[in-house]
Amino acid sequence: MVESALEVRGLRKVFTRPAVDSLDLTVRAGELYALLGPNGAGKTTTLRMVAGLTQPGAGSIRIFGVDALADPVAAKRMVAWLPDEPMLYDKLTPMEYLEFVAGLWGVDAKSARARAQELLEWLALWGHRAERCEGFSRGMKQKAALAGALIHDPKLLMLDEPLTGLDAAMARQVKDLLQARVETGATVILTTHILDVAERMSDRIGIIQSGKLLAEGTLDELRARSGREGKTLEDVFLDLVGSEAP
Amino acid sequence: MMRFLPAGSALWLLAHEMRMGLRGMAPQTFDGKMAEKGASQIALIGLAIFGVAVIAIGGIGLGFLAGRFPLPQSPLVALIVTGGSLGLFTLMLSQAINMSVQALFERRDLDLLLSSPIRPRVVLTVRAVSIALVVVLLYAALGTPFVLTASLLGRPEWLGLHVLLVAMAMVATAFGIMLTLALFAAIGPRATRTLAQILAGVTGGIAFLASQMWNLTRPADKDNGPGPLYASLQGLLDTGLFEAGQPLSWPVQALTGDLMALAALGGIALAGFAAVSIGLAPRFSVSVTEAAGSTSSAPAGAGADKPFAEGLTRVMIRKELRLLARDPQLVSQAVLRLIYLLPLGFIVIREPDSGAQVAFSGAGIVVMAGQLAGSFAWIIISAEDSPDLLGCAPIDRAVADRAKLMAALVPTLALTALVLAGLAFVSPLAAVVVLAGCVCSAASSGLIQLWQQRPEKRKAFNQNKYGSILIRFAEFIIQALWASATGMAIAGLSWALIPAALAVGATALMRRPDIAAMHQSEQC
Repeated sequence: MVESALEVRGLRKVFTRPAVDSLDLTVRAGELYALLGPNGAGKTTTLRMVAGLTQPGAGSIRIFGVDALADPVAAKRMVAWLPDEPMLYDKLTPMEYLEFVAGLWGVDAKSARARAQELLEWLALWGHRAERCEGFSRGMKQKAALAGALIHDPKLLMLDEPLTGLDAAMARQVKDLLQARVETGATVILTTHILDVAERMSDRIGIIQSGKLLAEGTLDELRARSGREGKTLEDVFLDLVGSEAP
Repeated sequence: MMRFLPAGSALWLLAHEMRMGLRGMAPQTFDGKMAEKGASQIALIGLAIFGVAVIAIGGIGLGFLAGRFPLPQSPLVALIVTGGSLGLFTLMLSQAINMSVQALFERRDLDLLLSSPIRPRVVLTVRAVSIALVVVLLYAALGTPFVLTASLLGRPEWLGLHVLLVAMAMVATAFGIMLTLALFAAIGPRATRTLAQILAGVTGGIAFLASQMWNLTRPADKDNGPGPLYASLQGLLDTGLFEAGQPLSWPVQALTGDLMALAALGGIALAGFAAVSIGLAPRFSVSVTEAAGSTSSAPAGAGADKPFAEGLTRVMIRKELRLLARDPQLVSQAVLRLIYLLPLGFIVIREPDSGAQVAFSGAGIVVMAGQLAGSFAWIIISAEDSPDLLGCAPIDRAVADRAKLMAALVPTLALTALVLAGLAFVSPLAAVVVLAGCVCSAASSGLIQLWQQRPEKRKAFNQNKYGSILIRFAEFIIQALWASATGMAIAGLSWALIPAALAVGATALMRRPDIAAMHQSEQC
């Protein structure tokens, strides 16, 4: 039996209107799962609840079997969350930032230092390690934040629009990294509006609208459901979202 | 109003600046929305009304006096007015330097303006005019009840006060912009930002120190005759530089309605202002552009490759201290507070045997320690730049909060230690008592900030609009209680226990039992 990396049951969050509404979601360990949906569908709110940043109104979240609401610290230890706006400190250098993030996740200092060097070299930020992040371009900030997300080697990596602001070469590098992480057994959940990326990279795709899961499965399963064999994910997505539009 | 002005003109741009300035005065919440009316805002409005009433009544009272008694014309009066004007000028200069730095570095709208077809000269002129307007606004408002009353009572020459204020604000603005651009050219953008902020703090502090000069230099024993300051001033008067018609007597002549003096002061101010606006416009636009890329040009520092710290508390403290040290506005405020302590130090050194002076100075140091700790704690706790990162980290928030509190106390006590070292030289026992008072006062302020934390933007600190005014007031009362306890303890009074107990009780009252639940509701 394949272990679930993430199991969400009956998840609900209401702001002025329900942002997430009785959502059930299962992400298997070791898969790359793309969570798609139109703007305001509830993707980010869902992932923020999983990351422990927003308290759900109802429902349960289990991360690798750990109840994230009952034992948030244990759950958070396995997770990395990379939002579309990088969680950086402008006045810190990338090395100082990684030192801080490693400290938060309890990574021992010596191995964190080595891992930081490895990540910054790989992300082409090593030459900028002593510069403050305030002068970085958006892409460089995104890379520094990505290094922060990877420094504690998370079992579950959640990324919200990870390719925003990256140049083509860097975007390719990030995509390769995510595939490599999955191959080594990690689980990746990403949201993206670039449907080509989801189509080519993901093992399974979840489509969410108005806080509810509309459809879920491999691309072929989604095609079958929408009755559009051989079509692209974009066609399938627009079909599903359009047909369910209020 | 903008719709009536030709789009793209200097006046149109000035109207835009004023509109943005006025909107910037409204209280904002963390997410930038207008704050809801609360007890804090009502208290703020109440205080503002009270302040305006006091200023109006005081100004009208002085206006009645000025209406009845004309300003005497003498070298001594000229010396006093010119000296007062210089003191006021340093305060204006401090504000102008601060605002010039902001004009260079807080450049979101400058990108838009300088990429538009509007000439950089117009942009700089408008920015300079708006700086001068903001600089003069407070002093003009303070003086208006007085000037109006005196004018209505038959002394319209007092209207010259406003001309003098505007002239000083224009010169201060021109100096502020010149100084900032000169620093920029000499030491580069990164250092300019820090040094200019510190310079602004020091300049503001000089006015304070000058105001204390008489007290600081008078002899401890009244029988020893006039002090050295009196002799220096008498020497100045004897030079004849303050005789009627001399440039140094122009300020007092302006206040007596002398049109020549008014024209001379106004002309000098206008010429200087125009020269800076026109002459430095190309340099301004270049500097703004250079400032944009300045932050990425930091060379690799020696500390870049040092080992990582181990453990949450150490890592948290290291990060917070780095962020504090890299905040020029905060450094400037800390320097300013130390400058405010200098007169107390002088008094103690001058009269080391006076128990009352030592007790009074000790109390002042305790208040300052509390104020510093409150500011540092607010920045570290409420103005956390990346709350989501802490929220999704597997940490015990109580441990993180304690580490943040410690991080606020480290620089507070380090700065206080400088002052305490001086006090220890004069009275070691008093220094120990004051140290205890400082620790208690700083801990109280830090705990209040911890318990009353509310997410806000760091920028609010620079605009002095941070935190709740009620909480800051409560903090001040508790600092005053610790100061009283310290002063009494230095004097050997066991009554010191009463304010100390009150301070402990008042601090405990500020504890919000829902603080843990608050973290829980924001984050799981």
